[in-house]
Amino acid sequence: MSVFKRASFLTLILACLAACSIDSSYVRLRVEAPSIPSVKMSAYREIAVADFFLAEPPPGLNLNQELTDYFKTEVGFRFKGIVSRRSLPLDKEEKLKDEAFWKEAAAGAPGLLFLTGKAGLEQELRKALLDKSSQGLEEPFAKEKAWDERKNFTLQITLFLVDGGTGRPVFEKEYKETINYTNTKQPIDFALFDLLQQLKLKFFRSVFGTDRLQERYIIFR
Amino acid sequence: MIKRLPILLLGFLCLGLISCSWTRPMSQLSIGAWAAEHDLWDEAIFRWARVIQSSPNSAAAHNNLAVAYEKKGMPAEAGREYELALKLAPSNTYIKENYGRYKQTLETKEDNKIHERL
Repeated sequence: MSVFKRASFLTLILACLAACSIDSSYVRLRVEAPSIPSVKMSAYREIAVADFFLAEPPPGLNLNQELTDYFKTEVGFRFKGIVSRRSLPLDKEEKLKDEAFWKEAAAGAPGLLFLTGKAGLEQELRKALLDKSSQGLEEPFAKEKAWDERKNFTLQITLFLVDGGTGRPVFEKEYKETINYTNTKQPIDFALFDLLQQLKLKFFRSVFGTDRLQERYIIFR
Repeated sequence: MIKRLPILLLGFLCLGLISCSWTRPMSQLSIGAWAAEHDLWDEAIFRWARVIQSSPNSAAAHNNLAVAYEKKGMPAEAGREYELALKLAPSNTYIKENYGRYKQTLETKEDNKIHERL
């Protein structure tokens, strides 16, 4: 009995020492570190949403109107300054990089940034011959070929942020967003909204920056 | 001698426990870590800066301060602190790991900037 007691006592001591020997020299933390935005937005007091250059306007939709309305609303939620709408029709693509044009549009207003760009929206019906499992009970594993259709929408857009003071772009990036629907009668305006939601995440991440969860060690020795 | 064994072991246990408490005292470093764990990063910075004031060669304090600067969106300051920490403890795996991740994040940002800026 005494041997048994001594053994259990020894085990307890060893357990305590083992617990103490565990390395507790660090703490692992998940840190939400903010990423640096490409543009120093705090240097501007106003963002004016200008018109977009459309090489081929899509039928059945006023793409310029949709884009300007969308960006005016969404940028307004994120930007701390003023967000306004400026009607500056772009008849030529070259105007996007025309310094004199943007300087004149700014009319010397300090801290003004123009949001503009060129855009195109395409839609197509894609068909494919796919293997489909048979629904019949007699041959449950038999494959049969069947036509499948998808409605595809592609938004190709280059977004520019132009400094009103210098007339030069401070941000320029091309985005290509695609989306497929099994509903072949998907309305183009609904599809555009889904595409813009995808685009917004990428654009805002670049321009306004976002928090990213990362792991770091806090150490004691 | 066998009869005294439990007393000896008890003594060892006490020594072990004391040494355990010495590895993590409630120092400025630990208070800073506690603050960081509770998302009180300004407090953590204050504590770790005090450690650096009293012992400028504390690699841990420089490392922790770098993490705090990263969190506060001050990458230049974070980089400087990581480099100091690595200079003081070049073989510390935790500092190396942190610095590696910091550099990786920074490179991604620089890549984005190159592609996005004119």
